[in-house]
Amino acid sequence: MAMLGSAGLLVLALFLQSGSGASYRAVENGQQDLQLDKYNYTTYHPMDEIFTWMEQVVKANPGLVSSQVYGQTYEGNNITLLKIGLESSSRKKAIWMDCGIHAREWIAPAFCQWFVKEILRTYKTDERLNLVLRNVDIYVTPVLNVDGYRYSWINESTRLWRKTRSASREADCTCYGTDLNRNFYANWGMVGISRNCLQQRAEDILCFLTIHSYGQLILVPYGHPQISAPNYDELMRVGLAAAEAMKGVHGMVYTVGTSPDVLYPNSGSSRDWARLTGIPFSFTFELRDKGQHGFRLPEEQIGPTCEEAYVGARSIIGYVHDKAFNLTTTTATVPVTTPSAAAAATGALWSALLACSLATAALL
Amino acid sequence: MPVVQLVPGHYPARRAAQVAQHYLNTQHGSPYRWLQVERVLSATLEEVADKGMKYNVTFSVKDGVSEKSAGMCSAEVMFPANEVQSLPLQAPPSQAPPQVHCSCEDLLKTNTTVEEDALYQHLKSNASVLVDAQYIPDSFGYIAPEMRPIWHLGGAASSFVMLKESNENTLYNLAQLANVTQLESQNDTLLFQFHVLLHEMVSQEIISWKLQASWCPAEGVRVLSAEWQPKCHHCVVPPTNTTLATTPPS
Repeated sequence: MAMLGSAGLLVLALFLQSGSGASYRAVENGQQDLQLDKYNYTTYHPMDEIFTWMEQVVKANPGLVSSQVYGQTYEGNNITLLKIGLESSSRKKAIWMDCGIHAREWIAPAFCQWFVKEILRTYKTDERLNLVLRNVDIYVTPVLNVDGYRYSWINESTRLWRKTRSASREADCTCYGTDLNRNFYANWGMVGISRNCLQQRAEDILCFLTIHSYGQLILVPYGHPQISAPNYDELMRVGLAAAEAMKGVHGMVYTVGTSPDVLYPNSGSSRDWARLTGIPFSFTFELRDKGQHGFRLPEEQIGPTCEEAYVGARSIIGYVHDKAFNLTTTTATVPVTTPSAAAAATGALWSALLACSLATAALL
Repeated sequence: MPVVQLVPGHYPARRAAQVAQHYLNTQHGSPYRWLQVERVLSATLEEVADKGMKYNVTFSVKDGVSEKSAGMCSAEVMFPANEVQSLPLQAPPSQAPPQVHCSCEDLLKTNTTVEEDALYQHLKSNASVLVDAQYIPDSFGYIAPEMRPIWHLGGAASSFVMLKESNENTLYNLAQLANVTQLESQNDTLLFQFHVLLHEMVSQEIISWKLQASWCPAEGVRVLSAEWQPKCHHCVVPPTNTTLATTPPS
C-alpha cells in the first residue's frame, strides 16, 4: 500500500506540475547508437530501443516533448510517457493515449511511436494540429505493460504473453500475471485512497484512447451489456466518423460498437474505467487484422496499419478538440452536442483516479 | 422461438460466420486456398426446440492466399442444444460440434490445380528431405516464401479442430504453426505432423494441439488424429529471481 501511495503521488505531481510550467526530466545521455532520423517505424522494436527512442524524441524536441516516469512495474521497470504540447498561457486540456497494455499486441506500441512521429512531422505545417497542440497536451504511453512486453520478446515461446508478470501465490503456472484490461474497475477501491489529493484538474481530460489488437474494431463504452454511456449516440457518431476516415486510407473496414455488441461482454477495461470517471470520450482501437495473422501481424503491414489508425485517431482528436473549444467541427457529419449532465457530474476527480489507478494497476 | 434478425457487425453473427469459415476450409482448404470471412452481410438466429441454436448467415469470403475476393456464401450453422461449454484452461470436454451446411457462389473459380500438383510432386519426390520447420510465422509475422503453402495447409488442418471445438462462446483463429514435420508416407498421400497454437478470442487463451494430417490434390486435407496439449507443458519459468516461482515445466 505504501508503494501504491508513492507511485500515485508521482503521477499526481506530473499533473500538478503540468499547469505550472515545471520542467520535466531532461534527457542528457541518450544512447547515440540509435539515431532518431534513421529510426525505422515499420519494424517492431524491443523495449530498450523504445526507451532510447523516447529519450531521443525528448532531446530533439525541446519545448514540445517531455517525458515522465509515472510508475514502476512489478519487476521494477519504469512506466514512462511522452507529453506533447506547445506552450500556452492558459490552462490546457489533455488527451490520453496508451499502447501495449497487452504484451503480445506488438502493433500497438508500434502505433504509439508512429503517432508521435506523425505529430512531430506535421505540426508546423498543419495549422489544425498546431492549434490542437496549443490547446491540448497529448500524453502518450508507448508501452504500459513494460514487464509483459519485455517478456514477449524473450523468445518464440513467450511471444504470445498477454498479461503482466506479477507472480501468483498459486503453484500453478497458468496463474502468472494480471490482465491489466480486466482490472481497472477492480482497483477502484484502492484508487479511492487518493481522492482528496487532487481536484483542480477536473474534467480537463477530453479523450482517452487505448490501443490494442486485433479484430479491426473501434470499441466504445461500456463493456457491461446492461449499461449504456450517457453520450452513447455521440460516441458512436465519433467512432463511425473515425472508421469512415480509416476506410478511406487503405479500404480496411473497422467495426464500431460496444464490446458486448461487437466482441464480447467484459468488465474492468481501461476504456470503461476512463468513461466511468467522467472522461467524455473513451475509445479502444483494435488494430489489424481480423485473424489471419492475429498478434503476429507481418511487419510490412505496420506502415499501412499505422497510416489508417493515425487518420482515425486524428479524426477523434479533431472532434473532441473542436467541441471543447467551441469551434465548428471539421467532421461535418458529426453534429456537436452538449455534454450530458451525467458526464459533467462525474467529471470531477478524474485526474487523481487516472493517475493513481494506472500506477496501481501496474504494481499488481 | 421466432426468427431473430441479427446485426451483421455484432459478435453472434461474426462467430457463426467464423464457424462456417472453418467448415469451408475443411472442405476446400489446401496449400493454395485458405478462405477467410471478409464481411458478414446478414444473419438470423432461431432457437429450434430440442435441437439447438440455428444461425443463418450470408457473408463474403476472400482467399487468404491470393488476397482476392472469393465470392459469397450462405451458411446454416446449428449449435447443438445442451452443449458443454469449453473451458480452455482444462482439457476440452467433449461437445457435440456445430453442424454446418454451406453453399457458395464462385468459391472455386481460382484454379489452383497446377500449383498443387507441382507442390505435391516436389514434396513427394523429396522424400529424403522431408519438411521440418517451426515458428510459422515467426515473432515478427515473417513467413519464408517456400513455407507459405505449408502455413495454409496447417491452417486448413487447424480448421478441423477449430470447427469441432467451436460453440456460441468461442471465436478461433490460428495463431502459429509452432512446428511442422513431414512424415514418411506409405501411400500416395503426404503426411504431416503439426503442433498448432490456436487463439480463442473470447477467453483470450492460446490453446495448443498436435495434429496429424494428410494431403494430396485429389483428396484434399484430412486430419487423422488430433490431440489437445495441456497448457503447462509449454509454460516457461520466468527468468526473474522471484520467490513465488511456479513449478518448472515437466
